[in-house]
Amino acid sequence: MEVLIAQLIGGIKLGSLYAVVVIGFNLLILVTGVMHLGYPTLLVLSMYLTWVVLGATHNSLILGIVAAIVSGPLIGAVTAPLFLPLIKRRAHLEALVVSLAIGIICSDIMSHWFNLGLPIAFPQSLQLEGHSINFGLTVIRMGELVTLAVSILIVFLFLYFLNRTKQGRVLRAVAQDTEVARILGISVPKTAVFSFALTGLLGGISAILFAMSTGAASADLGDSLGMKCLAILFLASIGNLKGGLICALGLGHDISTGRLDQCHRFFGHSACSALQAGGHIRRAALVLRRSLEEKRL
Amino acid sequence: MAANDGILSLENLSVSYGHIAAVRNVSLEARQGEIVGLVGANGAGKSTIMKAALGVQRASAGRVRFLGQDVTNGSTEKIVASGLVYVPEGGGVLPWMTILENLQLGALHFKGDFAAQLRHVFDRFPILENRQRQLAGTLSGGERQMVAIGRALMSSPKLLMLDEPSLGLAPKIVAEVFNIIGDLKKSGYTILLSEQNAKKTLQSADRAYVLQTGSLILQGAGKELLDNEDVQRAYLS
Repeated sequence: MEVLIAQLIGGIKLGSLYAVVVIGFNLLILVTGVMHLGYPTLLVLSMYLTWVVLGATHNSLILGIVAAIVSGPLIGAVTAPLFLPLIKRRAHLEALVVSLAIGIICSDIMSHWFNLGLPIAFPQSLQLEGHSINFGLTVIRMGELVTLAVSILIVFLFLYFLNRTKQGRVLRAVAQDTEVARILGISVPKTAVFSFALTGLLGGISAILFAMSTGAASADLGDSLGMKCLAILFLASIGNLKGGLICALGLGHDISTGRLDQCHRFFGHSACSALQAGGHIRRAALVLRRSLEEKRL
Repeated sequence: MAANDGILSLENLSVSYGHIAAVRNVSLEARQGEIVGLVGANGAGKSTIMKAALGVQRASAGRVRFLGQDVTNGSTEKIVASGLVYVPEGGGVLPWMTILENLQLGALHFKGDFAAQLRHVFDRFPILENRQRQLAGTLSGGERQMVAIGRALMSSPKLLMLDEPSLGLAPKIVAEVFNIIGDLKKSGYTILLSEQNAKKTLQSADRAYVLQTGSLILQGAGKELLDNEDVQRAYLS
């Protein structure tokens, strides 16, 4: 029973982490039409920048967290101008290529300029080692619980922001109809930049949560993360916010329970992520049939 | 602003889509408290003129002045914030947002008391208050038009541009829409009304302009144009 609870917590924690990343993906797709394939790598870049700040400040947790949260939107806002002319022309394929290029360049920078190309490790204090809850024979680290709690909080805060605030309504208006949004006096370019910054913020928060959860990062972590998120996106239907959340939780659950490892042995890593996500989407469809058809903020 | 003051004036406005001249050398004016009609067949350039005034469509020549300021090819965001509001053909309601959310978006640049403004719109359209949590996409054509007009009123506009508000609506609803337009005029709103329904427009408008393939061919008082033989032959028979 304790094992089941530990797996459940681990699964929801991992799933909610993926959910935060997938929210960022979907937000950008819905508002700007850009599928930002470099986004997971930029998330990892935030992790690397956090590692640098931690190293320079004698592992100051607060400064490390601030570095992650600030670097995310900054990277997003700085890279947004590369996409704006393409968004205006609705050149989505070109935008996809630019996003890939950004991911490759960042991955290259991380593998050559940080830690001699070796994987980086975060201090144990970030993972709140030494603080744990014993549940029968199972030990649940405080870092895992904090990651779980913060991820869930972020998802709820984001949904609240989208549905209850003026800026959230503006994002939803642009996502639904750019022309009408413009006629209402909404600046579509400013909203696009804001959505890049917001996606970056979600990426920065995800970066610190991944750092707390995994304790390490490597330059190619973005590829692995990207494949899982893409599997969730495609099988939940691109732009489907609710479906993406369900799929992400399902995938997290499968990774946590080891079901994904069983699949890997036979089918390989990426295909399994897709298959498992697909299994969950079918189950989700029975419960939330309408959600799968909705493609909106 | 006194009566007879020009709120919106277009001076020799031309708009092209690539090599195609959609509007050629059009000059018109909308004064305080008037309903100004823009009449013409499909493709005459009515919507293009309104979009050019709003800055959504780029003018290739001429000037657009709103409240005395030159806003030619200006920022749509700033033009809307200054009080020029456009209700597009079909209403342009956001279907996956509720009636209330659509109205809230209309008040994006409104600096006054939002609750009072919302009350004012709900008093004018009580049906919207009863169904404010309903998704706009589930409404009928006439109800969507009410949401669109209500949304436009949320910003307390200086000039309301209505683009074919009766398009696709049943005759009974068309009559309702024109009643609403008449009430808005009585409340002091200035309206630029573009319509293919020439008869209704000329009956409602103080002044009107008749467009044909992007050019202005006639202008005058609404009632006078109703009696004009050319207009009758082209649009009223």
